[in-house]
Amino acid sequence: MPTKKVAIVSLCSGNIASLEQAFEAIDVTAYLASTPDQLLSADALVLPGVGHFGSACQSLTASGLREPLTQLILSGMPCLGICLGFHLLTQSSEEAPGEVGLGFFDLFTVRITPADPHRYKVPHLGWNTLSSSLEPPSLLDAIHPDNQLFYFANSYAVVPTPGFIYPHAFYNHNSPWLALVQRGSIYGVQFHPEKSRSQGLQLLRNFLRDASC
Amino acid sequence: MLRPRLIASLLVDQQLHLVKTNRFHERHYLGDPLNAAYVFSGFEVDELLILAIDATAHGHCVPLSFVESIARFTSVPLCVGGGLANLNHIHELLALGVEKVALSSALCSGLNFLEHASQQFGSSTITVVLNLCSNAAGEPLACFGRPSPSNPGQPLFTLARDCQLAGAGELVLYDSTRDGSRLGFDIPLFAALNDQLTIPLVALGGCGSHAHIQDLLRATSISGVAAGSLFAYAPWSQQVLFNYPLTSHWFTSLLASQRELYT
Amino acid sequence: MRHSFSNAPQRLYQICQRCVMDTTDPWIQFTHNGICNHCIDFLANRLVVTPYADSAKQGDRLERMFENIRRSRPYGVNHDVVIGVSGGVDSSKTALLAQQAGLKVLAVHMDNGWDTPIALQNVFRVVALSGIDYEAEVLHWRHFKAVQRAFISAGVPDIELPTDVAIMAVLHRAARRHGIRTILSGGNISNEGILPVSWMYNPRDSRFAEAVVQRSGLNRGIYAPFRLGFRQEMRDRLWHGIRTLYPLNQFCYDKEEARCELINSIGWQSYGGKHCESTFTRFCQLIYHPIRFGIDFRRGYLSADICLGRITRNKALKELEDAPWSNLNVHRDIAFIARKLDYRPDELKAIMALPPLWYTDYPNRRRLLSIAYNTYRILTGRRKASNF
Repeated sequence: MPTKKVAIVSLCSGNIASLEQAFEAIDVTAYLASTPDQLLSADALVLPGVGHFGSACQSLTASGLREPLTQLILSGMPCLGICLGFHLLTQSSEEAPGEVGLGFFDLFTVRITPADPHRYKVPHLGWNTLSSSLEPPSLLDAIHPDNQLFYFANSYAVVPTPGFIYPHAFYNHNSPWLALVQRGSIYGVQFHPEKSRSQGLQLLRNFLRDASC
Repeated sequence: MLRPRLIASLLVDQQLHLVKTNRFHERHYLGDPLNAAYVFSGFEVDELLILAIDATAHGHCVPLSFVESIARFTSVPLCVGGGLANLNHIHELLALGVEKVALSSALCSGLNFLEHASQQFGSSTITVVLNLCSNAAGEPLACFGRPSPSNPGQPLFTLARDCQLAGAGELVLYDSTRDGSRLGFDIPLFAALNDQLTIPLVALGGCGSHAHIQDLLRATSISGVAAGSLFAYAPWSQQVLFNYPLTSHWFTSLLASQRELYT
Repeated sequence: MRHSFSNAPQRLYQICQRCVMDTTDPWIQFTHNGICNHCIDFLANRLVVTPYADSAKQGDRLERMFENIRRSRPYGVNHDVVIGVSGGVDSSKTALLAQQAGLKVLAVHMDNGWDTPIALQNVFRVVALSGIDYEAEVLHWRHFKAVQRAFISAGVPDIELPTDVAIMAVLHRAARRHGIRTILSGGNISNEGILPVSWMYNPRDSRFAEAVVQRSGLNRGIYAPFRLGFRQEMRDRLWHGIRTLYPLNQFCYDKEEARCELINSIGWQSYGGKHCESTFTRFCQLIYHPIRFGIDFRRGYLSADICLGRITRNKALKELEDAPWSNLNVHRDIAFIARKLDYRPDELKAIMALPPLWYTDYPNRRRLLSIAYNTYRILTGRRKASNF
């Protein structure tokens, strides 16, 4: 069976090395995509995790990737947004008020401002557990509830809205935030699966499970 | 609930030997840092803190090829520092697969570099290492880089607050007075500092036992506990035996039993 | 340096009809009905050292060995034995036996830069047992790496020799330092009784080792801390009274049984594959030897198992059908080994593609050592239970 190929969308910042390595560990080929053609030849897309919302939006527009990316996602190519990538899939982020996100999730990204800032530190750094109030999202399949511990490094977070219908999971930092959202073949995670041990790798496998080959 | 991190600290010298220090002076040779990193990655440490402690003194940044090897053969969150002095250093390290960079000596001449780094890369990628150089009653003094007569300390709390204002994402307070001693942490100091800060604080220097970790966590909800000696040596000895899993399992049980303290 | 070609005999492929040893040992000999010298020697000479030859004789051999050790502890010395602990089954079992017999153990771990996480966890568990003290010797990585590179570029299979010599040197140093008379080794005939000289030449032949080191242009001083040498070994034996004993040869040692016992009693962890407590050993046995020399160490272990009736020849042949590296990520392992040893992966692969050389292509003292060891055995009444 041919190896699946994942295109990591170039946002002109941050590291994709860890992501490439994580995909290699699960026998998937990952590569940096900076042209529309490179996006097209993938089985799945990843919006990577590090950088600034504003620069990432500007980079997507400047590189001409924004439109083709949007179209590909609309056409059903599986897409996973990680950390900043997750924020990009929302409507907007307080990190760059003038910029518009890709809007695949009808959600908003805000700066974490805890009611008790000396107790709940920002950035939110380290290992936090997930909880799902409804049916657990399929992205967490084969990950035992006691093992839903992932590595986070974020100052901005996606706000849960009441009545949000898509499968999702929370993490708690003074208040609940969205850790994971999935809508059809579009997924967003606030944490870094590529640095989150076997559960992180399992999540990446789950993501690719439905990717065509 | 965000858990406190149990962090393994590795120090490398100018020859890229892995070393353990005592009060920032004596050095004990521990072998190959790449293999140590590989081992701790296999131990699934919460985070690995790697500092090139001679880099500034020799006028360069921690070697990129070394960091590249570490990043390539580990899969745990990495914080790497040593001689980072400009934005390009930071950019290159982050591109190699490092989650956070640690700044220290470069801040001796002011915090502009910290501000720019935080703005450019995001505060969650910027850790500042402050070295506690003296702790005479009521007057804790800290400095960036190695304490020395030409690098005297300034009041710790002021310095910490200034770093926070300048955009540091995290502060590691390295207690040079207890480094390698395995005498435990200065708990009132860390508690007071942690209460003052709104950014995460990591304690490093002096950890010798599980009791030390437990006492610190009882006193304050610190974001991370880092240790060198505890994880490099067999319990209560000076004989090298990299370890982590036992402490990690104990730590997980401790957090589970303390969960009622965190609502 | 121009690569020379070996003087090893060129053989047509032949495999033993009783065990599974074959002409990947270029010096293997066969009888007219196709039985090889290895299993003949194993059954006739090696096995008799152990109770496998006559299990009725097992009795209390082990207890008598331990009693002898207890009685020979000099006054003022704090330990009965030194045991090198690697985290592997044999050394862990040896330490457990000694500890259970109430011997005071000094467990020594040698860090040669290649430890795996699981091996270190196993060492941790072993040395946590009461009655066991712990010391570590960390080899100077940069120097040791240079020696390993020298052996790789020498083109011989013996790239593990630097580690094997170093561990002897380390254990002897520990014994001398503490006045301990006995080194307990996890070496055993039951699993390692069939191992051709060509696959693993005598680590004690310093002439060979030094010729290799010299050829690479390496300073002799770099090699010095890692060598034991015949003269030092004899000084240790005759002057310091240091001897190495093999507890696992005193009873019908079954490695699989030992593995289960370790798992249940001290939470020991397995890592798949023999000797895989070291990433370098894993590379050597599962990748380097098979690819460069066609040597498959499993042939030796399986042949011993066949002779002991633990496995049928057909089953052994079936096991050998899968490549030794079939459970590995070869690409990643080679990348790691190369990076650690300062090669580019393509450089290391190119080295592995070069024609093989053997110990016979280098100056060595095999004959002389053979005479010396045989004389020693005659004088002390000990049996020849090894290749040398």
